[in-house]
Amino acid sequence: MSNYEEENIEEKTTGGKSDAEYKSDIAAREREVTKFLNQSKAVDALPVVLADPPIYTKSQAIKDQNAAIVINVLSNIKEKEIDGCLESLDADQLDILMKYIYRGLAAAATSDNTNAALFFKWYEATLKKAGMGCVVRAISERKTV
Amino acid sequence: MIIRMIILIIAATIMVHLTTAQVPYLNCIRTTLTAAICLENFASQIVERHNKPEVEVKTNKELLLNPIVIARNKQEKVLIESSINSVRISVSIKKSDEVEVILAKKFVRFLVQRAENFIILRRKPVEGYDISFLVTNFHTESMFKHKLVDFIIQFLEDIDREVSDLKITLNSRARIVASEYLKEYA
Repeated sequence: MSNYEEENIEEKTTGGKSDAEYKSDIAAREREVTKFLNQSKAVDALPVVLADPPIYTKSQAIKDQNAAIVINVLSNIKEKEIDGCLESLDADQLDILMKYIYRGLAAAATSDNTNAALFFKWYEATLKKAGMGCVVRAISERKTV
Repeated sequence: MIIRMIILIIAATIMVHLTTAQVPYLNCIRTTLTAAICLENFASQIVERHNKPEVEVKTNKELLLNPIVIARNKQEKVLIESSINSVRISVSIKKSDEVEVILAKKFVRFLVQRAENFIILRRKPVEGYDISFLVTNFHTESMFKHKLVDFIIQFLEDIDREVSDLKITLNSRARIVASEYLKEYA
């Protein structure tokens, strides 16, 4: 059809870890996050969940699994704490966070128990901190979460 | 009379509350649209001397960006699909009961029949949504981008109000018709 072949390009850019490694990573992360949430320290769990997202895998299931953990952490952080916990994040983490916020916003379309208003708060705060570039990268980057 | 006034006041406060609750949703859509509408002229890679909105023809994955869904709840959501030379925005409007479903359908139909007057309105909505817009690079060349975004946001604001107004008019009309009809038997 066209002179660009998706498969070849994907092959070259595929780096990072294999699906199995991602799976064990996610399981370990989930345990760690649960520990934080049990101590009601969701703010401390945020940098943990934003580290090393499964961007290189082609499996949507793995991405969904990780997104569920991140969205759970985001919805456990109180509105007042949002600005505070954004302060400690660097630009890359903010980019990843923005992608997960968009996932959170999309989740409200399919499930009833998602608190969309909270994600709009997150969105506004992150936009204020990281600027427009963050949104552009969330829309255009191939490294989806 | 007093009861009716109280009801009206409550209804008004609910309306005001709804619109303020809508603000973050609309702001989010506004920024996402501003980011998404960065378009350039891009001719078809497959057919010589053709220029098609890539988001519609989807001939090539490298020209498409990640589709974004922004939802408030199951009904109120927008889908923003971007590509190199076009952006497609699909809106699902709030329908709280069956009357509103019919009203929304009729109202959207009315608009879509006049699609060329709205320039960016798409004749057929994307599946699962009520109404779609298609912005191409030719629109951004001939119109201001921020005005295009404003138009879509304004549209989103107005359509909910329009449908609920229609519903109120419909109800009051039905009430008059019913009472006039039943007078015969009084």
